Amino acid sequence: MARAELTMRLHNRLQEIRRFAEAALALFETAGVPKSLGSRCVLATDEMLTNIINYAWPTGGEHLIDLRLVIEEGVIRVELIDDGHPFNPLEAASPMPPETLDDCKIGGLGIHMARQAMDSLRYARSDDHNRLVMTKFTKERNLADGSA
Amino acid sequence: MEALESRDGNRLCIAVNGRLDSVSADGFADRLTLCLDGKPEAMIIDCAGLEYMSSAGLRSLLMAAKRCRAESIRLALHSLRPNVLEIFEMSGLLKIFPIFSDKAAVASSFGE
Repeated sequence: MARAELTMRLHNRLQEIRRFAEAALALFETAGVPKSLGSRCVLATDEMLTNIINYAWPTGGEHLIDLRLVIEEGVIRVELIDDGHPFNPLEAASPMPPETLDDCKIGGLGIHMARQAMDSLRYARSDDHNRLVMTKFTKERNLADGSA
Repeated sequence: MEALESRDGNRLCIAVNGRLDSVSADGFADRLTLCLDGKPEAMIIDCAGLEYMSSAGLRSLLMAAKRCRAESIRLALHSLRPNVLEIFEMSGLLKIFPIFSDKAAVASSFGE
């Protein structure tokens, strides 16, 4: 996979997530990232952007989210920075997989799915900004058989 | 996202195409609610054209599934693409939904 990078400044509108998804998928294709890995990164980023757009600014208004997607040897990294309400998604409880439809709660799925899709999530609050870094390793198979 | 409805007796078939994400999920949920207001005996969702789904899309299906359960309406999803099936798996909700490989598998589950 070739090194590649995408930086975008997104408005706090849900439609912006589609603009990101298109740009990211195009970059993944150019960089030779396997489809299943690329689509997991897009899903996780979609989930976290949806959360930020829906909840980071309770009083509304126009706001911006800075996004950086970096593809490097063995790793894909997505960084999201917003100046919204402090929110650490890692403190949000991950729902237990429900056993039946009746156990199933309607909310809280997005963060759970982002965690499932990626290998690590890191959160920091600094300079009045939320900073989220999500990482996906692209060489799991090599790590598993010890040849990495 | 577009949803095409067709009827087969008192069964409602809905073919979903495109992206079921936070932009389109609310509209789709409203559409499903309207469909269920018509009290079909079954709702069959054809996902062959469903390209992408996020948790917002999954939530709209979950709400429909709960209502189907409460009102004894049979629900079936079929022909999911591998990436969409993977999203069901990641959510932990795969076993909650009656998912079939294709339309014929749905029919045979209905005893046909």
